[in-house]
Amino acid sequence: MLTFNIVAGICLAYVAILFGVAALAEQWAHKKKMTFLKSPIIYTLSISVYCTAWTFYGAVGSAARNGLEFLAIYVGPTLVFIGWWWLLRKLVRIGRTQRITSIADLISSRYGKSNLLAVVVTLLAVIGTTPYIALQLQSLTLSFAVFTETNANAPSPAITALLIAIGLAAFTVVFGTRNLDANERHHGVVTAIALEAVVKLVALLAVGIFVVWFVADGPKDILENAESMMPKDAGVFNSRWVTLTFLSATAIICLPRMFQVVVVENDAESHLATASWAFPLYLFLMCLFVVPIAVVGQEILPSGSNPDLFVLTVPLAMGQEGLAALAFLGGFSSATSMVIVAAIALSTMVSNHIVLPLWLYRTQSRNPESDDVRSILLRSRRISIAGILALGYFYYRLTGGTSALASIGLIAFLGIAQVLPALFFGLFWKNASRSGALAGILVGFAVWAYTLFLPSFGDTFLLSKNTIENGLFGIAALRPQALLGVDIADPLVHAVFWSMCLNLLVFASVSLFTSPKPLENLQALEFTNVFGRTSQRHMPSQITTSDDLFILAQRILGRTEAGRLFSEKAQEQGKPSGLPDPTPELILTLERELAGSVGAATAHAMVGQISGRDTVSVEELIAVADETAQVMEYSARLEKQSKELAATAKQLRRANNKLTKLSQQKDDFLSQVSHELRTPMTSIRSFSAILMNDGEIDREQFAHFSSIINDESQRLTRILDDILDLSFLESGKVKLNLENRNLGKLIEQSITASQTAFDTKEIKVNIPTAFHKVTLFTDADRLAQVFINLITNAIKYNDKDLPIINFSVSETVKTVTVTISDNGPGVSEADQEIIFEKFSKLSSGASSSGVGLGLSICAEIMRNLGGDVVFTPSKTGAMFTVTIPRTIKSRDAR
Amino acid sequence: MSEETSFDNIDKGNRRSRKKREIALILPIIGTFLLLTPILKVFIRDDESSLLIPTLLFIFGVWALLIAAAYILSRALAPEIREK
Repeated sequence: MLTFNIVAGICLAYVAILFGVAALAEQWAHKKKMTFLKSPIIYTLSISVYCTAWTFYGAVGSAARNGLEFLAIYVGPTLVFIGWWWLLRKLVRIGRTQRITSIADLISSRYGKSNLLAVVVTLLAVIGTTPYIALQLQSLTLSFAVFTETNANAPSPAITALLIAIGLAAFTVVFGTRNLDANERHHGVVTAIALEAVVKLVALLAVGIFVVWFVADGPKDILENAESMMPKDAGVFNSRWVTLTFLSATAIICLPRMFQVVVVENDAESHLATASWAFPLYLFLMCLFVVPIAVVGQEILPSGSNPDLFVLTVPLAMGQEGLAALAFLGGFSSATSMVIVAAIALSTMVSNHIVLPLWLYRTQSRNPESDDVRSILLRSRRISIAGILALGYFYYRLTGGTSALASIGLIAFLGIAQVLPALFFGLFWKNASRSGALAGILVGFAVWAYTLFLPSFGDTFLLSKNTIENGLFGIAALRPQALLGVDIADPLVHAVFWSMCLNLLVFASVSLFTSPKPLENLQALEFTNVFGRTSQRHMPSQITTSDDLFILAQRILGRTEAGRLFSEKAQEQGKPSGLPDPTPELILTLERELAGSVGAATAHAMVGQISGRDTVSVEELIAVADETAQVMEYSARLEKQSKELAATAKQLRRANNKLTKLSQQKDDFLSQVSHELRTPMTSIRSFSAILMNDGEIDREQFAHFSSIINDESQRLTRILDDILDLSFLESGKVKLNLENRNLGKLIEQSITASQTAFDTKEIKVNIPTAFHKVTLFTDADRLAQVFINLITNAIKYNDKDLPIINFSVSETVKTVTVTISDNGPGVSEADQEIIFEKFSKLSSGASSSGVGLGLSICAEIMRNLGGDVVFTPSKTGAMFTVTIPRTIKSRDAR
Repeated sequence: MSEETSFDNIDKGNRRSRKKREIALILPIIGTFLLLTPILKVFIRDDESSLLIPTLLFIFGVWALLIAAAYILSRALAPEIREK
């Protein structure tokens, strides 16, 4: 027979094991043997702190009373966890980068490290969690009472509850406030919680298997009986079902203890990947046997038995005392793990956001260095833990056994759910502001209190029966359970609807109509862009010394930790010993480290006090806010620049090629010029030498030699004239004498001029009369020079007895084209390409006095006149085509 | 391997990881749709016999499938976390 004493003994032994496990884990963590402690399984199991005694015992009770409704409490978290990639991962990443210590810290940090918000969320969490702790105490005493019914000597429930509360407080103080971990991680507690998670799962599965296969005849039997034993209405897929799912999904993020295990105690994001399926699986297994236990319990136990205790009473009724003890330990584990984690989370919040700021404010005038912040923090946490458990105990004493406590679980869920809009939109909406968050939370909280929390006490607390039925001051629209006459039958659904709607509405509209402070903007960017680039914050130079910072760090992090941090930083700055310089980067790192112990708002205030800075400069803000825009602009500019560079390189390459070619041409030209000049010079020098030295030269020879010298001199002059003319034309500096001139007359003059050079030769020239109708506005003398050159060539190189030159003309609107062809030998194909080059004397060239500059000059003149001259291949003789603009335009002229 | 094909591979890798992330978004939406709406009533006749058992089996069935899908997805997404 299981007596109270045996049960109490089992409990004590179990607690001793928990102490041992926690101590061992702390030791391992200290020795850095972390592989086991940091496994994703431990993380997943610790999340199961979600399953409290309320779910361990209460799920069966709920199934017996309300059908499948209890499943909603597990469906919500399942949905959140399988969507981990989008919400939980972001939360965890922010928790790690910002060194978040609690849900209040997260909200405060997001909205500009506002301590006011932190205080509000902390109070909300305390109000929402205290009844929940009372609920755990109640279920523990109820489960104890199962064993004390037959024992008159057993202590009363009040004493049991008190002893449990004291025991829990002791455990939490020992393992929850052992040290001020920079990241608020508690390996000992988490490992103990994981063990408890295994115990409660094993206990529930054991009872379930016993019930299905040993009491009933397998699952088929259970399902057949379920129809008659369970409520007719399955209680799913209705508005209450949706509401409960929403609340439970919210709870897994917003409840202080859930936030503690999911975000704060998280060691690696990859653990979340495992938990995304393992935690839903855990919940699935916890629910698997709830309906069978409810069905069998109603079958075999006398009617009127409390279905909330079926997990315990069914094995007892079947005489399975070992199983009952295991079930009891499962319930005990559920309750204790919840209370321990909740107490740690709340004490962290209370000490960081309420006690420490108050102490800082009070000691501002005193010499703060004489006090040890660490001891203040630890002491305040220990006192907070005791205080929170005391609150829970008194709440239990006040309301224990009443319906107010039984229904408090969901009510508490909704209370803490009021931070959801501020939390959720804070992660994704940059413009969500501090004022909006504060207003939303306060309004939602007020509506929650008025429509759900206070009426849950009946008429015993604050609200009178009259107010509940007829509304505040008798105004029907203010009836707590039918606001504005919206008559939703279920008070919970009604309260969720109104509180969340008004919360969201106020939060969004106040956010839109207020402009956030600079620090809020900074934090908003840090939160919403947590997966983006880590921004380099630029801060103005500080007026502080490293000594001050070191003293502050020592007071909070402890001597060794602070020493390690500062020597690391000094090494980073390239200093072999001593303190690092107080760079903005050091100050930022320090603030982050401190935030891991005392919360963002307090750390910011402390560092701000020392460094004389608690505002953000406009420059810093612009730098961060415009970061994205800057990056985009920068990359666009880079792209443009690289395009420009490519274009410039291309141009340069082209220019270089041209220069190389020109330089080559110049060299060729110089060597040709020297060669051409050298030939007449040589003649002149040798003949003048003969004249000078040979005194016996006769008259005839003298005349002959002198005429050679004269001819060569003239040739030299002509070559030089041509070269000068050519260079003048090429440079484009030639001045044109523009006038109107009849083309026919111009060509006739040219022919006359050419003929004078060959007066011995008879030639035939055909000029169509059309020429006389064409008038050009151009430099007539230069144009004539071109024609003279071409005609002269046609005569000079002609090997026929009667040279014939044919002119023809064709006109377009803007140009006149003159074709000059002859009956000469023509130009060989190989020579066609080079006839316009300088000094190009053709291979077939007959004896000539020219040096090969004539056609080059023609080409240059035509270029200057805006036209051109080309050689046109033809079968009979040579043919040149000269294109002349009718009217020379300034831009055509070169 | 030419330059172009290696770029193709990078592109393919990006597309695949983007798809995985999109599935991570769609999975809870599918779960919400199946578990929060009375979609079950489409599949079973609404006669006078109790819907309790079919509903129970449906919820647990969908739940198990969601867990299996989440398991596969977490295996697929885990390397992306480790890379970072």
